[in-house]
Amino acid sequence: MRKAATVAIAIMVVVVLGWYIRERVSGPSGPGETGEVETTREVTLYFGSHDGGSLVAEHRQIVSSRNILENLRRVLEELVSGPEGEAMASLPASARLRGVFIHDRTAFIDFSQEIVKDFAGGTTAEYVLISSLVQTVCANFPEVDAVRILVEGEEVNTIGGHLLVSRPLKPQEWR
Amino acid sequence: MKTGIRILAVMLLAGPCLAQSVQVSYSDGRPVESIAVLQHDDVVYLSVSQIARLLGLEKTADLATDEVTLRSGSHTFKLLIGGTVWMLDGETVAPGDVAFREGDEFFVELGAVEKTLAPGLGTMLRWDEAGGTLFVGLPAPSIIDIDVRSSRERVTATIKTIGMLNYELLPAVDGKIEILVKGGVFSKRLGFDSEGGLIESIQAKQETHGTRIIVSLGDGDPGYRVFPRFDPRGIVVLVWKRTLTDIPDPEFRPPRTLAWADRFSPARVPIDLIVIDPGHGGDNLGSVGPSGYMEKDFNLEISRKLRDALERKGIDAMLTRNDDVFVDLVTRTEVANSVGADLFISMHANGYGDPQAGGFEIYFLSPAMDDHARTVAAMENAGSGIVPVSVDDAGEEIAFILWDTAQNEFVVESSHLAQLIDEELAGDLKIKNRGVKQATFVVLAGVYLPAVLVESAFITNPREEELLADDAFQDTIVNGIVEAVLRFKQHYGR
Ligand SMILES: [Zn+2]
Repeated sequence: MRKAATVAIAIMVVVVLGWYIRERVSGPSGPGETGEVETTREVTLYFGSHDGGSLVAEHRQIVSSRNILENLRRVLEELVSGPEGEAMASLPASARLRGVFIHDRTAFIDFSQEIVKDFAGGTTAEYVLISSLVQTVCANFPEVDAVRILVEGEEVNTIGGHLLVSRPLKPQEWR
Repeated sequence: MKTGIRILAVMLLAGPCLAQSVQVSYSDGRPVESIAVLQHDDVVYLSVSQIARLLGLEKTADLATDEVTLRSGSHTFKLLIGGTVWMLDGETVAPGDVAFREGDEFFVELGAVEKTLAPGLGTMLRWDEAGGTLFVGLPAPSIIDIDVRSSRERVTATIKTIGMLNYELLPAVDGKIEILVKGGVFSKRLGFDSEGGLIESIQAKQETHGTRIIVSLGDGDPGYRVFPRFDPRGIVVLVWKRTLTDIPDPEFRPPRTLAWADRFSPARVPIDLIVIDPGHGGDNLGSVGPSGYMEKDFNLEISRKLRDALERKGIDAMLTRNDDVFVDLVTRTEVANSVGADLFISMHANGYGDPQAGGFEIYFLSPAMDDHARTVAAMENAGSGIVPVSVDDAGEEIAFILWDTAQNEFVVESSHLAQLIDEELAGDLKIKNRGVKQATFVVLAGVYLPAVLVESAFITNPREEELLADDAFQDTIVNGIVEAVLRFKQHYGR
C-alpha cells in the first residue's frame, strides 16, 4: 500500500507540474482577455454539530480552477480553517495540508503530523474529524468515491487512537 | 588488545597454578559433587563453563571478538576483551583484574563470581573456604503455581510466573507438548493429573537452564495453543476439543483460513471469560477533562471495578492492562483472542470540542463495507490455513479483510450486547442517552468475538468529568454492564 501511495504521489507531482507549466506557458489571464476567466464555485463544507452527533453543512464560494486537485486542495484548506458559522471545527487548526492526489477514484489527503499531535478528542471528536473530511470531499467531487488519510506521507492506523483509518473511507460508512 | 590479554594471562599463570578439587553443595537437592578448579596464589578461579553449569546459566562465547555471554532469565552478563570489561544488562560493572582468558576458556576469580556475577544474574554462590565447599543456591522460585480450569470443551492451564519469563515451545510429539521456561525455577514438585481429561497431566522438571514443563494431551488429538498471559502473569496452555469445530457451516467460509474459527464457535461455548480493555494508558492519555481528570485513569478505575463485579457473579474477567502503561492495540486484541475469551468490552470516556456535549453511548463494530469480491480474493490468497493473530504492517490489510468477514458472525451478538448495556444504563444514568452506534474501532478490528466499546460520559464536559470521577456514578455503570452481561448470558443460554 505504501508503494501504491508513493506511485500515486509521483503521479500527482507529474500532474501538478504539467498543470503548472501549462499555466505558465499560456500566461496569466488578465482582464479583457478571451482566454481563461476566473470563476468561482459554491462548495459545501461539513463541520461538527454542537453535540458532535452529526455534521453541519456550510456553503462557501471558492475560486475555481480547471484542475481538480487544485480545487480539492482549496476545499480542504477551507475545511481546516474552520467554520464561519456556529458549527464546531472538525480538524486541528494547526494541521497543514501537505498534498492531495486522486488515484483510482480515491482521494489521498496528506496532512502534516499536527493532525495527530494536536488532536485531543475522544471518539466523538475523532468520528467528526473523519466524517467531515470524507463527506466534504465526496460531496464536492463526484469523481471521488473514497478518501484515504495520510500523515506526513505515510498511512496511519488511527488519528486519535480509536477509529481505524488505514483503509478507504467511504461516505456511506461515515455519516 | 589481543597482546595485552596474552600478557595478562601469562603473568597470572606464571606462578604455580594448581588444579584443586572442591565440593559443590546445591540448595535444590542435586547431589553433592566434586569439581576441579584452578588455584593461583591462594586465589581460586572457576572457568566460565563451570559457572554456567553450576548456576544454570546459558553461555555463549565468541572467541573471535573475545566475548562471553552468560544469561539467566532476563539478565545478561558479558565478559568482554578477555574478561577485563564486565557488563551487566548493558551497564559496565567494575570487577578489577579478576578474570583472564586461557585458550578457549575464560577464568573468573571465585570472589568476583560470588559478589558480582552470581547476584547480578539473580543467582547465589557462596565459597566456604574453611570447609572447601562451594554452596550453590538457585534463586527464589519464579514459577509459582499451575492453575487449571476446565469445561467440557476446553481446558485452560495457567502456569503462573513471577515476572515475564521467556519460553520456547517444542512441537508436540505423541500428544506431549514441551515448554522450556528459560531461567524458570519451579517452586514445588507439583503437577496436575486428570485421567481422561483434555489435559491428562502436567509435569515440571528442573533443568540447569530453566524448567521443562511437559503437558500430556488427552485422546482425540485436541487442539492447543501456548501463549503468554499478562494478568495474572504466566504462560497459558489452552486445549480444546476439536470435534467442536468440525461441523462445517456452508454459509461461512473463514474456518478454513482462520485459525481461531476451528477452535471456537461462539454459539456453543459458555460465557465464562470476559476481556475488559481499559482504553489508552501511559503517554496516551485519551481525552482530558477541564480540571485535569484523564480518560486513561478513568478507564482503568472503571475496568478494575467491572472485573471485580463480574468475578463476584462467577464470571472470570481479565484486563488488557492493569497499570498506567500503554499497551498497543494489536496486543489488546491478541490477548482477547488468545485466551479464548467470550466477550470483549473496551472502556472509554468520550471527548469533544464543545464542553456542553455530553451523554453515554455504546458502540459495536460496523461490518466494513469493502467489496465482497476483495474479501473473497484475500481469503483465497490466505489459503494455507493459519492466519497470524499478530498483525504486522504487511499483514494488516489482509488481517483486516479477514476480520471483516469473520466479524459478521459476531455482529448480531455484539449489537445485542450493546443494546442491552444501553438499556441498562438508560434506566440508571441521569445523563443523555446517545444510543447504540456502529464504527470501525482499531481495538476491535482484530477481535474474533462479540465486542463492544462503552463511552461512559464526556470527560470534556465539566459536569460529566465530575461524575466520571464519582464512585457512585462508576458503580452505576459497572452494575449496568454486569446486568447486561447476565441478561446476554441468559438469552443465549450459555
Ligand atoms: Zn478513548
